[in-house]
Amino acid sequence: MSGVSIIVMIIIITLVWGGFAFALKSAISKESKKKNK
Amino acid sequence: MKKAEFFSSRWALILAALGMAVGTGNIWRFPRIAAQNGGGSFLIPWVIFLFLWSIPLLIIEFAIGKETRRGAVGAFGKLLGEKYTWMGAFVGFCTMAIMFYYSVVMGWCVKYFTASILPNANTFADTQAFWDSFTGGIQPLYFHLFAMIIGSFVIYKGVVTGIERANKILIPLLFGLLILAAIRALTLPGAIDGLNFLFEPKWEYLLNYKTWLEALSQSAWSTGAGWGLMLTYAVYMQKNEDIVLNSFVAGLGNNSASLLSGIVLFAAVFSLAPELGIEPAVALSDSGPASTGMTFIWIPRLFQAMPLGGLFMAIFFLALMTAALSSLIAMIEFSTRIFMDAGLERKSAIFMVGVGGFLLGIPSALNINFLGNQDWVWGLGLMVSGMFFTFAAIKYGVDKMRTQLINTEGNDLRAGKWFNIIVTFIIPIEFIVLISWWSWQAITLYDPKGWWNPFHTFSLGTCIFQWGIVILLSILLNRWLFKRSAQES
Repeated sequence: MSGVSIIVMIIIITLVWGGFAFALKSAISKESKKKNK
Repeated sequence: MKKAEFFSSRWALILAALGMAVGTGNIWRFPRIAAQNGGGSFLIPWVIFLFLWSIPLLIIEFAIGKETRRGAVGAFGKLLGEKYTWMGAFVGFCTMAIMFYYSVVMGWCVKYFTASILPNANTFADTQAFWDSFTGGIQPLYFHLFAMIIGSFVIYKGVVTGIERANKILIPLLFGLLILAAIRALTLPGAIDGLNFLFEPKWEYLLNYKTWLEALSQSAWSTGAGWGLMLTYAVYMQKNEDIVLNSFVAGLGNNSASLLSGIVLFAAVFSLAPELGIEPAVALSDSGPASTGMTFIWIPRLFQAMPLGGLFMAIFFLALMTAALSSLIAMIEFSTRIFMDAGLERKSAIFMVGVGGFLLGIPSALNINFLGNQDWVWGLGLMVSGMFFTFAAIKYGVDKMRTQLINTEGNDLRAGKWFNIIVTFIIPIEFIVLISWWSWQAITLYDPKGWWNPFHTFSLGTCIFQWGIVILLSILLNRWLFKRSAQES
């Protein structure tokens, strides 16, 4: 793979999969905080 | 009055939203459009438009559904007043019309899944002949009927025991299958060439306006933003449920599934195609009739050439079937909700939607050109639907919507002023550019001689003709629709 492809892959995967994982984790942790209140 | 139904938890709502968003478009349309538009060059605008079109529209749908507690038709009337109910009716018909042929497409996936697990070595010996023989006969009708029965049964069971339970199985299964397929595809020799093609930015594509418009179209269709489906699920949200973070989860989850299936197909096709003397980029880019080329012709042909190819093919078509069912469920609930708002009991509404959906899907099941025409007309109509939602937000007051309907108690992530800017300026500009570009393509590329003809499959005339009939009928029935759907009973 070329260097540019690797950079684009890292950026896209971080944004999309990382963003999804982060948003999902935030939703789950906020929900458990609400339940514990 | 009957007790209102709600999703039992946030997790259940998120899974339902993901089920709605992730559909066949993620698995068969995304890789093809990415291949046609320069791989990495396409991914950049595709991610940008997730934030500049899809997620803001999902937020609007959530807000309107949660506030009005009505399906598409009643929601427009209740939020904006009687004279705008027809807009909701257009949104309603547009998504229902897609449901009619989407069920047929799900039937194809069921057929291919069953064919891939049945022990008949010659099934896919000639994939083109197999496809032609299947779609040329009456079999698609039976599979369409099967899809409508399964989808209607889930909706018949209700929000908690139907939609919730189905998505709790379907979505983890779908992501699990895609991950399994990705592991297998990435361990094939030469898979890295596929990844290189998928992620390598080709600058000439990035500078081409067509890449940007295709990326916007893909983002709009794939996330389900502007369809009214999220609005329908929002009707069953708890009062203190979050809107903004849930929209981000749905949008990013949808794109994650697309990226995963892109990796599977690019890696597998680049590994397998050269051995058969096929150019990988050609196989990935092939549209075929009603965009079926890559999925139903090339994939079976390539997958059967690999060790354990039958198993891999079964996993692929099961994933496709799962994605199709989770979206079909959302479309059937969308239609059912509209009839329930008009005063029907859930059982009667489902019966009407199930029977009507089957009957109105028959032409698409028996004639692929008819299906192609409906996909063209109502797929493009979704742009108009999306614009109607944006109009609703502007008419209601974007800032008022943001502060009073979105940033409410229980919201985990607040929508800032960026939301106002995107909804007021950016989405309308995107709509105007996109609809103009599609119209221009229809006139100059798809059907230059008969672009005005309403009876041509891919003409601008057929869109205007069919949209015109629906809009005219909606306006004529506007008062009646408002009374039946939007007023408190």
